[in-house]
Amino acid sequence: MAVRRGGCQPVGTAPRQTDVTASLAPVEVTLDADTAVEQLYAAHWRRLVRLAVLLLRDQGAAEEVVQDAFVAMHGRWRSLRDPDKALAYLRQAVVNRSRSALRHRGVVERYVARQNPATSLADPADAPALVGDRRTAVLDALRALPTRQREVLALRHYLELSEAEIADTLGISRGSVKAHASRGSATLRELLGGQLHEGNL
Amino acid sequence: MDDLTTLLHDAVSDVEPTDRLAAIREQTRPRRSHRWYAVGGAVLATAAVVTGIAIAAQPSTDPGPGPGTGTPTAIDSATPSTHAVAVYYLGQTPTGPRLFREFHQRTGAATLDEALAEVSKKPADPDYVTHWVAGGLGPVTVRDGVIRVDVFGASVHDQRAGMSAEESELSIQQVIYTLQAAAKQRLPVQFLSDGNPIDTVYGVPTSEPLANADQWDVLALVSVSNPTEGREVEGEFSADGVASSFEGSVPWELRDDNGEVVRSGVAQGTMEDHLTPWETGPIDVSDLAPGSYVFEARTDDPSGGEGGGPTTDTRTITIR
Repeated sequence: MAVRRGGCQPVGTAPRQTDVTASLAPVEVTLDADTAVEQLYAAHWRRLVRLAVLLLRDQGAAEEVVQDAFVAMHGRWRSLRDPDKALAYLRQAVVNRSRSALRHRGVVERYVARQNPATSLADPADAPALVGDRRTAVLDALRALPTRQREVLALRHYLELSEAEIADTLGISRGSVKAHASRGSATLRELLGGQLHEGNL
Repeated sequence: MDDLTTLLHDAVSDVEPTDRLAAIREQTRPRRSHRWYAVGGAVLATAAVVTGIAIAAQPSTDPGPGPGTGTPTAIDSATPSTHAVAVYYLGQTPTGPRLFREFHQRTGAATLDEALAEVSKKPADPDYVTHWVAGGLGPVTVRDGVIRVDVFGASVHDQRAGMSAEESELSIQQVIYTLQAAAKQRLPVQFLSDGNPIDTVYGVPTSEPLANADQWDVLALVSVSNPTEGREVEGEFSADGVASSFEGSVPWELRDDNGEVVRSGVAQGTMEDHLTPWETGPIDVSDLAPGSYVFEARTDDPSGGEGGGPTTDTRTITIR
């Protein structure tokens, strides 16, 4: 039954995955899908949600996307069978579904209309507020980038994937990865000039 | 690490996802009835054919589990999305009551009113309390960079019997911290009665907009985000939260029904001027008997109890 959900989607990395009948055949596997989900959840849930937050900006939407990715991975387990492949699949699912969520919904910006806090009332030594401002600035700057550039930067600087792994995840050439990375980081550095040079990390 | 790597990691370092394992399990649960399998098989075959057509008709340039292949994400569909609301409650520590943070999963739009409503609800952790009652708070508006909250009730003006001055102060900070978390900004909070500033709430002066008090003064030095209270686990689980502890060490233990420690370790966070995240990594519980267990995280106490002992936070979980 698990194959019903997301079981028929093509995956770039594993062979034969577009063969619908293969995933329907009853196969004996050593590590079952439930256990695989459990283990990958324990190890990667938070990191993947954080990745999706970098891509989507919105935590609720990010959790939805990663939850869906896990459900889809469970459905694909018979063709994945291997935790490493499953993790690669999850990464790919999170990136693709985030892209789709942005496209379809324009993700409603749900936080309250931002006005600058009355600085006289805020504790000048209020580190959390400064930290919050910086984090907001970084997420805003990422949102301002073209989708591919944002994806490449998130995979490279947050998941710290290699160029080849990023190329696999996004289904683009290594040359494109390089190009997106250099354009994206140039723009991001420009947008975040202050954050990068104040040394306030 | 280069500067962008540092910035990107930092940008999401305070994102604490809610626990959705149960929801994932629910969506992937096998049906064990033989009768169901017979029917299910037919349904599956049909679904496969239909999806097969869908795939054939789709250009294959977009690799991976992308959109539009028959499994819309919850975001694309009409299903309302869920999100986590950080709510602060009062709990006991060796240095008196402090605020602990709990995450509640809510459906629909994330608003300040929704977050505030959680403050007067019963916390999931039985070790926590709230002194706010339903209907005593709200609505919330934001004007000129100030969050404005109405308070109601005949007795809200004065310190309540049975509530210490410290608990009254914390109850005010509980509202401020919860609303700031929802607003994702440290905005000052003005308490109102009938639309006008109220001079005291529970005996605490409130005529001016109030900033959040220093973390050190009001927050418990350790808080568990995951597992959530009552979570069911199988095979393994991991725990995380925030803390400020000696050298960043957060000792933790898992105890069985008899209080016997069956697992223990030390999670390593960092030591900074604010509470920072810690996580245990996977904890293998596959060989433990099913039942109820208590996970406890605590601050490291190099004094051996001289300062009143460590701050602790616990979660009761069920191992299946």
